[in-house]
Amino acid sequence: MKEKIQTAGTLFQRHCSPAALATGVAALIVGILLFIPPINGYADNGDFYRMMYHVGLYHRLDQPYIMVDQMNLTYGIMQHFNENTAALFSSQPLFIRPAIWLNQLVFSQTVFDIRFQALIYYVLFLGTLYLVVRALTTGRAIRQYVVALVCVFVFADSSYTLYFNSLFGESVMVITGMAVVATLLLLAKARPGLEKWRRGGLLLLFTISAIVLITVKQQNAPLALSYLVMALGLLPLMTKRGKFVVGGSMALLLMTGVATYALITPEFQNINSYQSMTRGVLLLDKDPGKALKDNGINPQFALLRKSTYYQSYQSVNTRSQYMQKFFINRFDFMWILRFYMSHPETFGRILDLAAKDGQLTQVKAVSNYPARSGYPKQAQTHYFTGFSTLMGTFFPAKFAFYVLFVVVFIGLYAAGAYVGFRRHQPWLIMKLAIVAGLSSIIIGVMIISVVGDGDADLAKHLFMVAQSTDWLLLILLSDINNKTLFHEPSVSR
Amino acid sequence: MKRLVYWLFVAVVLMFCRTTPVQAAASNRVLLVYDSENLKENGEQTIDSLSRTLASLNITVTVEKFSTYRAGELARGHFRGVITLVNWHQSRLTNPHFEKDRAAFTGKKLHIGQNLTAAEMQALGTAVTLTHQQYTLVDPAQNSQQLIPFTSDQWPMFPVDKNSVGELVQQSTGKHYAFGTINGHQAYLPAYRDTGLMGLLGTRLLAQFFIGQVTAQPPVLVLTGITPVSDLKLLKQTTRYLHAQGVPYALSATMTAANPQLPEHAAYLRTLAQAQVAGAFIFLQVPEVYDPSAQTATILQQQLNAQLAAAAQQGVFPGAISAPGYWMFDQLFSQSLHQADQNLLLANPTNYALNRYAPTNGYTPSLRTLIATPWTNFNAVSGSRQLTFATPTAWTINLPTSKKTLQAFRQQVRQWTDQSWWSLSADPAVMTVRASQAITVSAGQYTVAGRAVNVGEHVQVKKTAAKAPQTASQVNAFTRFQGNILLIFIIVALVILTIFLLYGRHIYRNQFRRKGRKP
Repeated sequence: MKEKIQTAGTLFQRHCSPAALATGVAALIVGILLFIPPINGYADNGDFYRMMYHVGLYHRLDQPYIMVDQMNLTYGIMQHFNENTAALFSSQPLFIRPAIWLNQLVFSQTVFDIRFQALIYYVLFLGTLYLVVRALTTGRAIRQYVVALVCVFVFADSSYTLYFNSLFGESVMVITGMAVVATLLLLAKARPGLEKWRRGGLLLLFTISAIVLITVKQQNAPLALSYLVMALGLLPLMTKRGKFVVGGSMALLLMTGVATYALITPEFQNINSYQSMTRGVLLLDKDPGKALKDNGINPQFALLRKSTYYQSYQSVNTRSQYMQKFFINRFDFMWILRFYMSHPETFGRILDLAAKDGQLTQVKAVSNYPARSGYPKQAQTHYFTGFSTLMGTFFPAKFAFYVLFVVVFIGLYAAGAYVGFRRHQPWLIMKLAIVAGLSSIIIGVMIISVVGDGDADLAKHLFMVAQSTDWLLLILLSDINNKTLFHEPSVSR
Repeated sequence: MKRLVYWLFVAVVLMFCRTTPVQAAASNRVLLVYDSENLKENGEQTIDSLSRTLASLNITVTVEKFSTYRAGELARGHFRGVITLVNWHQSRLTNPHFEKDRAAFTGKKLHIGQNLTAAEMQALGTAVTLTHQQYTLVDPAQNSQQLIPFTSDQWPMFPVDKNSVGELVQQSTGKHYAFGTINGHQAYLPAYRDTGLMGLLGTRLLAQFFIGQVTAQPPVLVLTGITPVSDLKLLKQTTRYLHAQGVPYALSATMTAANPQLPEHAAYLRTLAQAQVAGAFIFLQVPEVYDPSAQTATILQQQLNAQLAAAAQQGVFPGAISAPGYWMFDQLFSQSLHQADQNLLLANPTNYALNRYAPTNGYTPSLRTLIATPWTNFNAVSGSRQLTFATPTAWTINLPTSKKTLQAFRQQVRQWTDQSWWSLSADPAVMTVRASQAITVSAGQYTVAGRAVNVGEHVQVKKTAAKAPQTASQVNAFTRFQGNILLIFIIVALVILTIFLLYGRHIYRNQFRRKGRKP
């Protein structure tokens, strides 16, 4: 019996790599979530319109369109000239349009089923997960299969994959965020003997993924700097010509970041400015009126504390000239940053508020079930949410902890990089660059979120914090598992 | 016999085929039918101002578009009158059902704008069609006039008679024509705008035609744009100035029950209380609702209760509710208007979409409705500066937002020193705002929940049951506790590790250090 099991195991090992196992398991788990009734996804929180009209979708006229409480499975496809311009600059339509084409090809010319969107993401996600596991495992020992399954546990968590059945930009971030780091790790692992085209392909995939990620949401513009830090690690790996190519890719990333920032529409600038004040500076300061008065702003604006820009039942028309002239135009990003620097106590408190939401990846405000699925309004699925629940519950919700967390990681990998410098092993240097990049995302995103938009929509703004934390933990797990914390991997495949 | 049966049959058929005259009802309902919103020319504002004016005349108004009018509606609705508003005359939009029903209607028929039908022309009398000219609009009753630019090319004009309202004087010839024409059950206004003399005379025609009597009351001065985030210093300066000038006025102010612990909350209400003590009347202005839902009526009711309670605690007692005109045409919004006996209907906001949850096309006004019209629009009126209106009218002016605009405000007040004003604070009518604790005002005397109060007196209003304090779940408490413990643990571990690292390095180096002197 034991022999039989051993033979079966050997056969399995021979024919199924850890990456293939992970992809297969994830395909099953995520497939059930997205395509087997009851269909799961995220309901519209009011943000879908930003994409819908621009790509030619609309609320179906013969059916009620439900917000928040339940998912809408189908949308109408516009049949005539679409006069709607983009509400914001985003790479997301690159993923929605193919889904619409596919839908029109095999399902309907007039009705769009959101599952075609999920299908596009599903395929891309599985491909990316394959790359992730390839990057984190070496060889086919049993422990590599364990790491592969951990990767599934982390990245195929429903809190991430629910986004695929929605029009939220985070769905693109799930995939590209995984792809960027996986391609870098694969590039770092690559032996000089690796074919040029594969190396080039990985570099291309890294650049495209990073650009798509930076441009999918305006809040991602600053991430360009973090990915630059990661790309810096590639330089020691490259030949002179390769360095030139990487340099070009880095310049492209930087330009994309700047362009994404510059293309933020005035309306979104107003929203961000307003909320960075009302849900940031004014939120936790003990005497918000005084804070405003000291900086030359009418202290009465303190009464807008806790409000959001589009909030109904407000006593003030947020879009009025008065608000623009006497409130929104009176401060900017630097003003708020300066305020926080001079009020470290307030800054600390709002960062702790951000830390609280850092690992809450499942959007709690909207339903995961469609209408007529038999589930109550705003029902949430708990299917395969083990990892996100674990992290949300037990990861310490303190900004100071995040700081220590990244300090420990950077310290650990800096020691490895030091060894790498001495032994001329670029793998170790590369990993420091990746860890430093991910750490900068964790800290940077938290600071930028609260300075740029206060505590409004924090859980969604901090999406990259959770994913970067996951990445750091997985990289460490992989390094301990492969004993590559201070050494180059012995086998690279 | 056969022939007799035949003739009987013909008689019966003819009896049924004959158009039955649509009997006008004695009710106070008027149907306003328009051709198009004509957004390009801001035509929707004309519909809004006309609806508000009708509400201020205590007329139950139903607004309908040509295209949505169905045959027989005029008869079924028991209307006293019908108004045809041509907003986009070039479109020549029409609805044969409406034309037919209107022709058969026996009630009051008013036509506003161009494209008068032959039947209407005939009912009004002999008209002269004039081409594009410059006219002066004159109100002989008040001895005031205003130069108005006419943009259209052809206008039917009717001679001045005892029933006409206002006159149009052709500048080139000096000939006088009627501005508003009434002939029996048919009336005509060449245009309607709620600004200046055109609004004043248009309203007078509406009153004369539909109500049958014209009152002449001075306007109420209302300061608008007052919110909790207004500049309180400027608000005080403005109200003191009006007080010093002896001008009675009202404030249309939004309020908030949020952030009551902040000193700015009390400061705002205190400033309003000071103004009210000095004689100001206060309209509680409704909040901005961008996305109404099924809960809107409940939320608005809760807000009203909370805001009135917070206001009463600082001695502020609003005696009426003010809202934008589009609130009339939503079942949930209009409930808020009916919370008060007295409403002020403001022009619609233009910087966001006017979303309604339960749209309706009819509105029955509260006991008294005032129509808001910008004061500065009357600056172009020359002659008498003692204007009166046929309907409760509020002249609105925005609260100054800078020293410069305060200066302009003072200048405006000085321009109109002869104008007499209607003081709502001294008005003897009994008006109530219904909330958890009703506020009633009459001749400046306020009662809260039946108890007489003095303006400025801090009144504690019974609060609704406070929410149960939120208790953190045990898991939350644990994770918070665990967060701190982990933090301390890691810091301590890091410190110990650093000490070990330094100590280890020391030991390591010492291994290679020679001890003592070379032998």
